[in-house]
Amino acid sequence: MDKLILGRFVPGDTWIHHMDPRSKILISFYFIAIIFLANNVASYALMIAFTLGVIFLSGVDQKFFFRGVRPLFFLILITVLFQLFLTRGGHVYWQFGPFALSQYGIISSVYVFLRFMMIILMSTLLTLTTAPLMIADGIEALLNPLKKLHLPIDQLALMISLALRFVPTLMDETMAIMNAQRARGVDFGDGGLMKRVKAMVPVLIPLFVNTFSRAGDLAIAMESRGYNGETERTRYRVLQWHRVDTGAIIVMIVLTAALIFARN
Amino acid sequence: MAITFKNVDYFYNMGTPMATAGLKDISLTIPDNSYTAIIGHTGSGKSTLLQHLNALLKPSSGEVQIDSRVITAETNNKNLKSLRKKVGIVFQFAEHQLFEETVGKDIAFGPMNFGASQAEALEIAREMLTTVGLDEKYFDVSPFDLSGGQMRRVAIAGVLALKPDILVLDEPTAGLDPKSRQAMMDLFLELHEKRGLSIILVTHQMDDVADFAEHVFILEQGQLIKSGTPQEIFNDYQFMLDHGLGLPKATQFALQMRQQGFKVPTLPLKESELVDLITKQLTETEQ
Amino acid sequence: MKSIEVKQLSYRYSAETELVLQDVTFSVDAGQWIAIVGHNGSGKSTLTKNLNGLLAPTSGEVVINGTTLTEDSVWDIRKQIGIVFQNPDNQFVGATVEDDVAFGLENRQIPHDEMHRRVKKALSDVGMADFATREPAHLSGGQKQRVALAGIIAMQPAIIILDEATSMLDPKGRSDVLNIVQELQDRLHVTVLSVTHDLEEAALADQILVLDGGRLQATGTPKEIFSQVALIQRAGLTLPFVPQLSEDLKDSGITLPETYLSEEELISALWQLHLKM
Repeated sequence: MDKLILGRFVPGDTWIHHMDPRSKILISFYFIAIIFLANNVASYALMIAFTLGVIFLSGVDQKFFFRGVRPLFFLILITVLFQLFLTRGGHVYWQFGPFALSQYGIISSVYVFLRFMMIILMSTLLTLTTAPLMIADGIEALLNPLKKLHLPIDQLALMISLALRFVPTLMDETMAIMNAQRARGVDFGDGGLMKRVKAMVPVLIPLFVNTFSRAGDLAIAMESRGYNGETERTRYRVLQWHRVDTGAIIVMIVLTAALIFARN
Repeated sequence: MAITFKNVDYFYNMGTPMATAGLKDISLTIPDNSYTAIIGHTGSGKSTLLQHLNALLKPSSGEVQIDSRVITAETNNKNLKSLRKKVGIVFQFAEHQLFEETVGKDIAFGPMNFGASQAEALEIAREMLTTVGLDEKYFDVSPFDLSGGQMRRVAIAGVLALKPDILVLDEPTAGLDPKSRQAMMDLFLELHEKRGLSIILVTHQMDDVADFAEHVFILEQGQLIKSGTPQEIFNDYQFMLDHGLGLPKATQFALQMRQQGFKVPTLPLKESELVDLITKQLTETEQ
Repeated sequence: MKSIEVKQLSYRYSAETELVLQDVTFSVDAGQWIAIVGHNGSGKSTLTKNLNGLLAPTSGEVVINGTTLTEDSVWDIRKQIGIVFQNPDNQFVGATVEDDVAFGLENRQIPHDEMHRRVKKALSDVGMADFATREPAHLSGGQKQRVALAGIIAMQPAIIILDEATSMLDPKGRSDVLNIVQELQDRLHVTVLSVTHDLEEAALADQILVLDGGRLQATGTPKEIFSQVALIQRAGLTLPFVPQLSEDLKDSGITLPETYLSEEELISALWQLHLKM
């Protein structure tokens, strides 16, 4: 079960894996933003080529990417159908009430589809090649300037790291409690919605109780090890900007220039 | 009622690139009215095997026969519930399954899932509370106000309330203090001897194996590597040591005595046997 | 010098409840191993929490390495005490093994390079160097407790408290943890205080304190304590194997000159008897 949420990270030894999480996060967002600049066949071709290129460079098996797309399949389908039947313009091939199949409709639905796919693939690439902890470190580093506004970024970072640490533990515990209750005759997959929700009560209550006592223990352990939430802490993990990262930024500038040149 | 495994394999994450074997070609029989110990290191497949005993897991291949029901990979998930009434499992740190407002209601939870009326279930609960050695005054108390050891007892009562024929115990005394440990092991023995329950005990304590079990299965990396009576198992002490499983303290002591020069014809397993052995040695020479 | 001094310590959780600790007084020399034994609910854990200021005494005082524990001194005193708690999962703070060992060092603002050196050293001291980048979900209970020990070693405290640290472990995990602590004590002369209901573990100590009903019932060397069978039973504990065996041999008419702790001692005593007969 935990594999669905955290196990998406696939360790590897490529340029992309070695990039600093800060530059990876920034570049992913930047790429998603400039996708919207693409507006013709040439510019889309450029962006697709880039996407496929980095996927190839990451060395991650394609089936992991398909798995990233699968949960969003219906969202994509509905959006594409909307574009397809509700956009009008150019030659109209077919019409029925408010729905029409037009030249523009076909073109814009193809574009929407491609945009969707690229966004999903690039964000999947980020989580596939970056350990959750590194993503947390990256986000923290990027949020660091907000400390000047007295926002508790350090505490936030510790919270994220503790959450990541305890997700697998809670998953195991949930499975263990579910098994114990199944052994006492609970049928989780049975009956209507109400019955199913009701069946979760014997799982959720112990889970809450255990989590609270766990949190209490954890607070005691942290305090005993000198954590007081206030004083400045040094960092074991320090992010390091490599030449790959500078290189990646340059690639993005070149890509942007090419994109502006290619669009009309 | 007996449980038989025939060539059972179990794979985790079946059909994905991450598939790993949990059990490999396990064949064994746990006879009716027996006290069986299952031992092995963490990750040896013990808990996977345990979950096959009441069909929480189904074998990937091979078959598990529980009483007259045969469970295979193709068995439908429906109608497995009746098995769970016959085979009660007390999981590790079972106190983590408690959730009701009162001890009584929590124990009654199982019977009610199997169709008992509330009145019937509460009556069973009251009986089980005393069976596990807790005073009736706890019946209307919140389980979360009890001590850890008492909570564990309530959880065991909750499984006993199903009136199973087989009681499976996964390290039932972990974390308890010596007195509670002793009382709990005595309770299981009593359930076995007086009420005819089959007991299947998963444990790391070789002394418990020696003191209580009639038959032992040893798992390692998902495979059954040895089985026999405690005497047979521990007579092969080199095997036990090689696999890092340890020996009962009395056996270990007797082996050291043998090295010192004492005559140890049969290896004692229990402390009382060791006492007999030593007294005999020291009095025989006297004659 | 006294490492730990506890003077007439009493504690209650709130004014309406009974005293959990009553008039507890003892002291521990630096470099000693001391065991506090008692059944669950005897007040052991409350005592531990009073030693590093997680709880404040209702009356009496705690002195650590000459410093009296007060609100002002509490953070300094915590630097001198490392505690391994009972539940391996609930004290593992870091997302990976090395992050967890580093946690206490980060809190104490140890510089980056020094921190990396100490983490590496501490992990090799507990035999977990190969696991530095592992996540806790992939470790056994015994391994997690070894990581907790590494986190403490890295902080170089004067006192290590084992608060039921082995009670949730399998026999292998238990002996691994205890071996490491023994080795540490030999090498670094830290004071060890182990709070336990396992008298096999307590047998490793120089001194044993028996706690029952919040009161100190007896103090003595393991041999002295284990020869008082009635006391042990009253405290809800069971004798370790070798002293128990000696007792049972006595009952069946074999007189042994004294109480023995180790198998070797008892066997050679038996061999002496054997030769004499």
